[in-house]
Amino acid sequence: MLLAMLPWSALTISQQVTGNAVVFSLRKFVENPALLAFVLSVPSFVSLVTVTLVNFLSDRIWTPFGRRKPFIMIGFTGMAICLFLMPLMPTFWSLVAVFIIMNLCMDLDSPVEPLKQEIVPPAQRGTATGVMSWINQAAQLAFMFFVFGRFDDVHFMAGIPITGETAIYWCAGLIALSSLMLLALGIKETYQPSALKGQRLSIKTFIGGLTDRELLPVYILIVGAAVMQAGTGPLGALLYTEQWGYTKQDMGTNIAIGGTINLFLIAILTLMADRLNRLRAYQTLILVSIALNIAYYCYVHFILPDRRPALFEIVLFGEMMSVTGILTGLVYTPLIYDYVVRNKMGTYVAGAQLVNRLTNVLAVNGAGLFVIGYAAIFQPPAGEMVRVVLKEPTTAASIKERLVNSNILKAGGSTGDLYVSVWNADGMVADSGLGMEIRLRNPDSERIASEVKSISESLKARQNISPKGDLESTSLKEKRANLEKTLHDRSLSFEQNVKAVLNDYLTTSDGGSVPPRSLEACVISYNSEGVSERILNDFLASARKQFPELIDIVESPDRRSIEISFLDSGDNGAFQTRLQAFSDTWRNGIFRLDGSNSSRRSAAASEWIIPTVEQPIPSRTSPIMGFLQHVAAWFGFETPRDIRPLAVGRTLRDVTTTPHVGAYAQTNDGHSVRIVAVFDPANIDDARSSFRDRVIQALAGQRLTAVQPVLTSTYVPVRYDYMAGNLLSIILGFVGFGITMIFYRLNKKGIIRRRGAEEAAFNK
Amino acid sequence: MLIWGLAVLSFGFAQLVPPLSLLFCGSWAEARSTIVVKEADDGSYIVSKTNADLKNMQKDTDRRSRFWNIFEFKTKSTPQEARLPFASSGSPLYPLTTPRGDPVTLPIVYLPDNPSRFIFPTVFGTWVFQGVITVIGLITTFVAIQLLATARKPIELPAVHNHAK
Repeated sequence: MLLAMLPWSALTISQQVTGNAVVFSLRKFVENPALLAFVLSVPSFVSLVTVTLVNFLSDRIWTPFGRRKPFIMIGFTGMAICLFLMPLMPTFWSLVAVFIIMNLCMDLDSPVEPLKQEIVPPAQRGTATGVMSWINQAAQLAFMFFVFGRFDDVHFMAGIPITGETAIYWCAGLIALSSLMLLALGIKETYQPSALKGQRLSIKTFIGGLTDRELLPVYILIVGAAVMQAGTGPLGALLYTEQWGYTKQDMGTNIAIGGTINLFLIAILTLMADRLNRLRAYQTLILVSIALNIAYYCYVHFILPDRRPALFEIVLFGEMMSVTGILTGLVYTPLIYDYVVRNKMGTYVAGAQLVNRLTNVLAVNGAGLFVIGYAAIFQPPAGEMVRVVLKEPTTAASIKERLVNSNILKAGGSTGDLYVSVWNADGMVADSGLGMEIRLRNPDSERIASEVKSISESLKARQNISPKGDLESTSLKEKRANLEKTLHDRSLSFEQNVKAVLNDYLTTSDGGSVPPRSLEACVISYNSEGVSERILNDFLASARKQFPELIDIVESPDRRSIEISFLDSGDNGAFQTRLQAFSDTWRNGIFRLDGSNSSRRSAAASEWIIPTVEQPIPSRTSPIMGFLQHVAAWFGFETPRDIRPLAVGRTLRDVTTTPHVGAYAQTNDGHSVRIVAVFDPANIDDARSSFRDRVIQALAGQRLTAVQPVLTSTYVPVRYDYMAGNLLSIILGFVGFGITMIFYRLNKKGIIRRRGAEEAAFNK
Repeated sequence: MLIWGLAVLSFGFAQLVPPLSLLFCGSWAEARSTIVVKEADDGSYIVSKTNADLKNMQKDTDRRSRFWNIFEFKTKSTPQEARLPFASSGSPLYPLTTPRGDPVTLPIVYLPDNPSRFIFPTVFGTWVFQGVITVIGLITTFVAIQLLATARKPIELPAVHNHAK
């Protein structure tokens, strides 16, 4: 059974590569999600013909090599060649061409499924599916965790750059070649008598075969399954990376964690696979899957404060859906083949592929169009955008009302063209806030932006041909500059209009321009070697709660001592004693401060209060992560709440100018950060003058925005919400369930018979 | 098939031997990320030593730009610079500091007699493609041996008493 599974495994590994890596290969050339989805669905149009024909013929021929093998071997050969070529394609259309040819070859490989099912008896198909699923899971795990994150790497072999993308495709090509050898040398089909053998291919026999009375009812189940499996399609990968900001490696790690758990689960669930009532189990699992999809969407959209799940949450929900998916897969495939006799398996696959692909094409393209349609109705439109900061938290609705009443809209424009939302750099969604993002829909600006992009792409292409530039390139650059100036001028004009209307509402504060307050500080040095930076930072985070005058704890540049800075209170000795006593008990004394090896000195410090748009300590957290942090705290792993101000302080440390920096969230208004910096006496004047700019940058690095009346104004494209694809999945899930119920009723009435299982029982 | 499997296995293993030998014979240290270099398509360089510079550097970057991470580690005598042997296109593999503000550090294994020979053993890119090729070669060789051992015993399909038309 295991050897027979290997070629099928190789095929699914190649599908992993083409399903995941090719999205990013194409993404180099195209951004529009509908176009991306369409390009990825093009092979499905081709497959409508090739898979159907190939499988249909494989029931009706016999060659010295068998009936399924000739197709499979040609397919694997072509697939290997295409996998080697794909990363080398220099242009979008050449890549698409090779992609389509490769899918054509994969279509030729499709008889590997009936070949596999012919080998395995019906009573063991559940177990065989489990074994297959385990191999796939292990391959997916290895690919996503180890390989996929390497996509952007650039390695060098004998001075020749080889990108991770290239290496991924070439490894898949190697696998295809090895599988080709196994098929050619290790698997031999023995002759099977069949009434279909030698049947002439004509339109009549073709349609007649596909619409066989025995097979038609089984297609009902295929339609239901295909509708439910379409999901978000390739847009799922973009949801992770572009919308939620996770890297490809994060995506790979997430899948790897789930995949590792699945390896054990599949083994356990496989034991049950052949013991369940397959149809009943299938229906129940569909309902569970729909419920989980609804739960996930609602959790992300309505419960998470920033609509961005943490990796743990993605793994948790993903794992629940994965278990459901595994069980569904274990019962679905054997369920289908219970209804198909052996000599018609190829014809069934032909018909099923036709039905599957047609449904898939509609659903996958539907996902792309649904996301675009959802964006057109609910998402911020393309056009001029300005972000402002208000004096006090206000609702978006009241700001919009004021803007509409002021006639800021152009003649003929509607209130729907104006989009106002609360804006926070950390992504927090709220009904009211200090930051507001105001957009005005402008189709003409959208057209200009599209033209700018098109010119940029032309310039990139021309640079390949003549790197030093030519007259045409110069002219294009001028045109692009003029168009960009038009967009810039429109944004500025919109900004002026908004400022004029909202003048009374806008803050008068300006990014911490209030001069700093001078303070006296003290620095204690303790002789110490080999303390890790992590321990120091954790100690600082804990000690700050007990000692509000504490500024910072750092290791000296020579790593031979630790320096602790704090505000001079007049009784520094008492402070030192209390701090040392705290260190004796912190984490069972792993970091003890020895006063006998210490020295003290005075230092100059300055304090800035920087108002921020966002709350440095968020008032709302994700419930699951909150629970997880609670559990971690029981075991001594506490995550400090002021993690962002702490990070700001660490980022601002500079050995030559500001060796000690403390940043604190102000608790009185919740919207400002207090920064205390100890300056190196040799550079104090220069350091103070440039420190404010460094603070603004450090805050931005932690997604905290220093307040000023207008933050930015520019043209922005429409913002897509790829999570909307999940809504479509839920809708299609209900449709699929309804179709399955129809099949169930027909089965119960005896209109549909389990002919495959009956044939196997007869042959026993 | 056996020859093919052995050939792939040999190639993969040959790529694995140099880092493996360093792993077993070298000395370990902690390397800190100090510099990120952006190499443009025309060969020009931009160097960044702070996360703020790095963020500015990543604006208007296309996939033809390569980012190189440079680390610093201490041998018994002197500090040494170590450039990660592979670049990343589009964005750097590692930033200069973590989101918490801690410096990014990685374990490094180097030859004490020649610290310019080193590997980053916990970086996947050090092992992954050589490992994948080796595993493909191993599986292919194993399957080939299995087939040779059971040669001339084709996988027989059971006879079908079909009543299908």
